[in-house]
Amino acid sequence: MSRRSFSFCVLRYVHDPVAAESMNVGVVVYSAEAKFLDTALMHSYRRLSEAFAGFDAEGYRRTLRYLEEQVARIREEMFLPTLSPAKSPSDAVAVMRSLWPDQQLGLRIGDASTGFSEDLTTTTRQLFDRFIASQYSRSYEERRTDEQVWQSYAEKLRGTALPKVLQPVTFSTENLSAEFMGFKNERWHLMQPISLDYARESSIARKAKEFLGEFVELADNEDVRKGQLYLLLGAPTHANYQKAYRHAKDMLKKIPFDAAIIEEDDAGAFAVTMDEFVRAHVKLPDERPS
Amino acid sequence: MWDRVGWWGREGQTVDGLPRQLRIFCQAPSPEVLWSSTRSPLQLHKEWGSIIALVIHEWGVEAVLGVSDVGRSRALILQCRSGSTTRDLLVKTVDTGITDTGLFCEFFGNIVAREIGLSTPEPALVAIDASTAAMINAAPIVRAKGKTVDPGTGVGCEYIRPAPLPPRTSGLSAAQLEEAALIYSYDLLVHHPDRRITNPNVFLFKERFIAIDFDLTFSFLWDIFGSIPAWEVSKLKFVSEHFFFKLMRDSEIPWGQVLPRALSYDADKLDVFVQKLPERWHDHGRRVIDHLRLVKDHETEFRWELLRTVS
Repeated sequence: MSRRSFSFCVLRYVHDPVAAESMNVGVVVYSAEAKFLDTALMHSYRRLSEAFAGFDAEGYRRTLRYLEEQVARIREEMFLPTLSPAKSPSDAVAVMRSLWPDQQLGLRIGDASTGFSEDLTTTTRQLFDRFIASQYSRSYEERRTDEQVWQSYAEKLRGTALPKVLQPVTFSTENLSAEFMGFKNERWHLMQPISLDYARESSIARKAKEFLGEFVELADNEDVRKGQLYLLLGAPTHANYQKAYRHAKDMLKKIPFDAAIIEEDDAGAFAVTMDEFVRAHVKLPDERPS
Repeated sequence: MWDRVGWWGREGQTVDGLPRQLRIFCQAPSPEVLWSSTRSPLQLHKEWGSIIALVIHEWGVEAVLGVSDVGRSRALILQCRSGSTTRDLLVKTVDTGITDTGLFCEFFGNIVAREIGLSTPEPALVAIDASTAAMINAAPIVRAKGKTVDPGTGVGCEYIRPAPLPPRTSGLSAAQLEEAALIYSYDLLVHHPDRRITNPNVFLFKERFIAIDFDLTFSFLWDIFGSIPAWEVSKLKFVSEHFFFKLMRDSEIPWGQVLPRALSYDADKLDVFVQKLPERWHDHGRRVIDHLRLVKDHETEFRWELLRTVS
């Protein structure tokens, strides 16, 4: 495999530009010659919420999701065969500036740097480790984020009808607002990936409690209460934490409306079931009148 | 929640012998109260009407905290005081990127935006006397940017903390969609060309859209686009570059709710407000009020013109 040149930049969260404290939250890697563009982002915001008073967790989470959607869109557009080389962005910073032109906000783009790589996917992960993951103690940290758990289910769902009908949807109560990926036939079907893959048992219990509390509150929303929730679990990789995992599942079973618990080992069977259900009960986008 | 600071109205009687209507204006809620409220300025506006205050506080400068790297105007971040209240303000002064007319627009554009219920950082007038100017100019961070400040009036706004997040145009709630539509309507109302994809001048704070940077509002003051009737907004050349243009065109917008809100300003009240501004701005203020009155007089045409831009 030949070496390809690439550029990258680090994304930073800046809580208060006057105080000038910041935390690295992601990397963007771009190579025009390899037709490669990818991000690695710190979706877990525990470090940020513990470091910075008044941190907007919900806003941060939605902004990162939006960033990933936009990068996927740019990737598709950029590597069209018809696109002339002159139109390609010059480096990773240029890519990001097209999305975030304002550099005085809470998320900022660092300077571009360059390198060579034979495997840009691995390079992206290594840069993420170097600039983000290596900067903090992992004693309480997730081994896998909810987004990573979702990706493992998404792999199995590829080629099925489900991704065609999923859309981001937000439900609110007086006290809370939450976003899901979901679809609707007679009622809403909502996907919620939950990583229970932690370095500490207490973190597994804490995560289950947080989600239970969130869904108890969301039961006040009629659409959620009458809907069907799918909890897509990511089990702990550490064998010693299976008991904590069982207790966490028992807690989640107390969600006061229809909530199916899906184990990662059953992701394939889940994909088949959802594919059949969607084809039988939901009008697919290519079938809808234009 | 709002302290009553005074009343405004007309004395005497109508021709029918009835007392003229008096109105009571209240001090708007402080930024700390407004941002912590679970209801947005738009929601409060729906319940209470205008939230702008007729009282203009003037702020004095206590310290230089920084200089913004972004934008033509190289705004200063200043710690300021008014009475017993201390606040960080982002302050623009006359510079290579902004004229005194631009300062008027920065202040009054913000006022008009808040008058119709948009979320904006609270505007402020900052007094810069000779010693304050000298103190600012002596700050190494100001000198490093090659900026100098002359005595006069700076136009500031609340410096929002923590730093807001970049704006989105997908995954929006119904309330956010309505806010975006109101910003779009406001920009067409005041002929504001500077909210573009390459320079959004809008961000998200606690999941509310916050409009900023008003120095190019009322572009008819510069006759940038030639003489276009106030209400014929489909002829404005910048519309298709607006940051929210695609969103407006491709989404189900509750225009039946948004457009009345965009036209809910009280031109008479804004006229009273203009009289409280520095005298050199009164002429600009009168032109803006005339513009807003013309739009109100051609309300039906304005609505049709705006809807035409997104059809």
